[in-house]
Amino acid sequence: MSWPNWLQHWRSRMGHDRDIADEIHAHLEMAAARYMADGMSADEARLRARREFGNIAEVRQLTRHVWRWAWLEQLGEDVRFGVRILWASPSVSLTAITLIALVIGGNTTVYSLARMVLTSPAAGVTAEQLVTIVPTRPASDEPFMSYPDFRDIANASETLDHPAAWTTERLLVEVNGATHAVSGALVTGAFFDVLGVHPRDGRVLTPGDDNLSDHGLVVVISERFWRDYFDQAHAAVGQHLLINDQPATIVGIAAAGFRGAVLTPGEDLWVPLVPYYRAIGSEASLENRAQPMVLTVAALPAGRSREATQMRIGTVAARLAKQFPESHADQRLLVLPYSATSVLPISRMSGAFLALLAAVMVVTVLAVSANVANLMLVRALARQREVALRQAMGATRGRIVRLLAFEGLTVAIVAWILASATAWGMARALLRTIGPASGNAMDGFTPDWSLVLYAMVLALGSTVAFTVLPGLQTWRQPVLPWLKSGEQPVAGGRSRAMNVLVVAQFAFSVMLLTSAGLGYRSFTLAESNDLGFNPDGLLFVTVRAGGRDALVDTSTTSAEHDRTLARLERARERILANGSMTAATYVRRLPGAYLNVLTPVERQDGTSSQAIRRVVGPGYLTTLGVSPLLGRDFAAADTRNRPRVAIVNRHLAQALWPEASPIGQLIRVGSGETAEIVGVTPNLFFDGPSHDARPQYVFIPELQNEGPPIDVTILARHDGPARDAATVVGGALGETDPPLPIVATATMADRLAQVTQNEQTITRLLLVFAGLSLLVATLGLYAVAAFNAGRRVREFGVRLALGATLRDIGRDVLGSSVRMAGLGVLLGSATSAALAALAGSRFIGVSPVDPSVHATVVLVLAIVSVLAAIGPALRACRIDVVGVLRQE
Amino acid sequence: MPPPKYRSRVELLQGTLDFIVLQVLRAGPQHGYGISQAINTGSREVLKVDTGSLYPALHRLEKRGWVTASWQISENRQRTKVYRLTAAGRRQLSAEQSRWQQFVGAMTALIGRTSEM
Repeated sequence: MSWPNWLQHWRSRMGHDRDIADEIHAHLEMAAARYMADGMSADEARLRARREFGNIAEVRQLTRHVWRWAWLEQLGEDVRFGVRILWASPSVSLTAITLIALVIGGNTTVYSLARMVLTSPAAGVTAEQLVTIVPTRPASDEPFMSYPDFRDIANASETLDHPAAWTTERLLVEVNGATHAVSGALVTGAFFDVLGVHPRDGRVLTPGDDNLSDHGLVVVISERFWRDYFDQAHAAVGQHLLINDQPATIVGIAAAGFRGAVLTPGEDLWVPLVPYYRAIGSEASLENRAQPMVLTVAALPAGRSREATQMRIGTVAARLAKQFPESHADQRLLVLPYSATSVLPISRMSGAFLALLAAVMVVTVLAVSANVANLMLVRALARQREVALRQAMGATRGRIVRLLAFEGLTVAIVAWILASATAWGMARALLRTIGPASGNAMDGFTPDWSLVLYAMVLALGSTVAFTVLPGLQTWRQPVLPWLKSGEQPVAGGRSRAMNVLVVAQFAFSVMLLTSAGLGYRSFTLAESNDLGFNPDGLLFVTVRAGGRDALVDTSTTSAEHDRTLARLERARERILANGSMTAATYVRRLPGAYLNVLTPVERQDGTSSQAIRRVVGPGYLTTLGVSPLLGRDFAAADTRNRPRVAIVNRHLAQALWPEASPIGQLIRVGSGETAEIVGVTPNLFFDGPSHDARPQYVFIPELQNEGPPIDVTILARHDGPARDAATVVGGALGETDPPLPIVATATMADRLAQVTQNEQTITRLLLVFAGLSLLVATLGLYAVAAFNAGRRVREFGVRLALGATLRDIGRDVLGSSVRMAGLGVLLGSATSAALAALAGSRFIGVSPVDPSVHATVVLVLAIVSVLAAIGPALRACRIDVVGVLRQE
Repeated sequence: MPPPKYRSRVELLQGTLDFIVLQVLRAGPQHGYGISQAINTGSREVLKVDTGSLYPALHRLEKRGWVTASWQISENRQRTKVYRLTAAGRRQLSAEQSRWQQFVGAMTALIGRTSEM
């Protein structure tokens, strides 16, 4: 093959120069020898030979140019040819390029994003080779381990470098006389050192801080905290704070951007762990081996693999299991690579998740390559005749293959550039779409360029291969038949596989579109949908009801608990005393939360179901503006001296008593006491309409509940603006003795926006992917339609001659495309409906087989499939019948 | 003033040199000087090939694969490049020959007719 000819020539150009000089020299010597044989003197003979030869330098240059222009000209010609091909059939080129660019760009973006989220360290962390040690127990996916366990691991000599532990805490911080609830972390001294977090100002914590000094606690604050709470003109270092009533001195500000070692919740201050517990007098809880408490991070010792470390940690775990069989028998310790998400449950699956994504990526790239190949085959069909013509005109076969390769190369290179632009653009767009939800963790997101490269090599290889293969097919073909007849089936067996691919792509698009559509519809419904209660004019004020020890010491006496409840009741009365407040209550947890734990609810005969358990104050339903379907609301009289009562929502009532009224029935919630059902509420959707379609709730009165609350949220319904209501509630809380400190204030509308934000983000992403997938399917359908129509030109010509109308032909081409798309739609709809029926709809208020959503999807796909086939159909109608028949 | 016999020399037609070179090489491998001498004597001194045309032509033929070249040491221990006809060159030659004969036939017929007029 002569493809790399110009390359070879280029490489040997230097050699050529020398050879030409030698050749001329030989010529001159031979001529001179002849003249000498004729009797001339040596000098005379040489002179004569030189004179006869002419301008040596010019001959050399002319000869050299034969070679130089050869490779340069050929290369230029090949490139020109490739570009000309792009213009020659722009629709084919454009489709191929768009396909490659979109799919590779899109896949790269998603994969990069997932990989970044799953593998990058938290902002500000500079150390490498970090691991986290996560205990696993069969019944729990909590990543926390007890502090004594951490100490044992840390002391296992040479196993880990600088092991550090931390636990996140909501801390009440008094700065300049005002109290704020701040996310903070209690950390061991090595924390900053092992993470490689440097101070922006002052110093970070060191192992020396593990002992309480006489001057009280030391604290490192985040840059954000400094900006929010301090006059930036003045140094924060050296200032004093009260952290949960403990005096503390700021010793440093952490590097800009550092908000803790994990993605959430974003910490703002760091206090030494042991001194803090000692200061609040709860040092004993650090000795409780059964209490999961801290997260860990450590560096792998130089030259030690994670696997080797896992072995050593395994022996520690085995020793603990033997020593403490009750609490540690089935606890394993996993050494995982550290990332900002590595302690989150999702990270355990991150390897599998990334592998799955990579597999999806390879499959889609292959599917696209197959589509591109199809397009190229369409062109090759038209080309085969041209190729035969070229061959007849004397082009070598090698050159023909080279031209085809350049054509593929040109398509791939243009697509490459576009794919990179797509990846970049998509990364920006994604950031805008999901940016608000992700905080600052996404700031540095860029596509993984090595991945762009890898994907492109894949696409380049397949595109060039697919363009050259049809060329190679012509390699041994007899030239003559091609010059005579127009069409012959090329690669006849391909089309069925391509049809299957198109159907599958359409089915996939339908599934994505349906999910996105259902999600979208549920949001539009949410705007108008009945949540079961009135979310307007509802104010939440979260207070720290437990004392300063409440977080670490749960053994509060019932007397203390009663005092807390008395304060809450007092605050409630004060709020209700104000004319603008129509109702008030308090709840242990905000309505709507991400982590809803299901508690078993058991009938007396043993029949049981599960429900979300909520501990609420008196007047709960009234405050929400809900009247009970049956029975009554909780009252201030439902105290511990009275019979235990409970309220269930309608879903739970239906689950437990499908026929009879549940009022007066007895249930047991979790391990609590038996309670009598006194009321049934309508179904309330606290988490927004898209969280759970059939939530089951059981409500327990706070006044009968065991154990003290820590953070309690006062719920107040007001008439005026939320700001005024907040002032009223704030005043009422200040009047309690001691005053209840406010941790956070929010409205129900804020809350709903927050809980639905994640779903909205997912729905938006789904829509983007559905659109992308639809585009790929459409282009794939176009490729197949063009390919099939191209193959059937002769048949169409004959049919037209036999009396078929152009409309028949057009309808035939359109029909086969629409049939293919239809099959895909059918399969996709059936699959998504089946999946939805199996898993239950994720979208409230929308049935998984919502007719309007499915109708829209089907309509969109019908339009799209017609659009994809219209070009090939029109082209089929423009057949030159006479030309086709002449070839017969 | 060139000697009188030079006046009867003719300019070579475009592309004809390639044909002539191939024709010369049909007799056997030859180096550049040998080819120029062969053309000279073969055409009874009518055709005199210019080295500024001959060498680019030889290299062009080599590039096209119609001739191959190898380096040999001549009798006076000179490193010389020797050209040899390839199979492709032979095919090309026969194509050129028939084309040339057609051309010659056409020219002869044309000249014959015009001279009759």
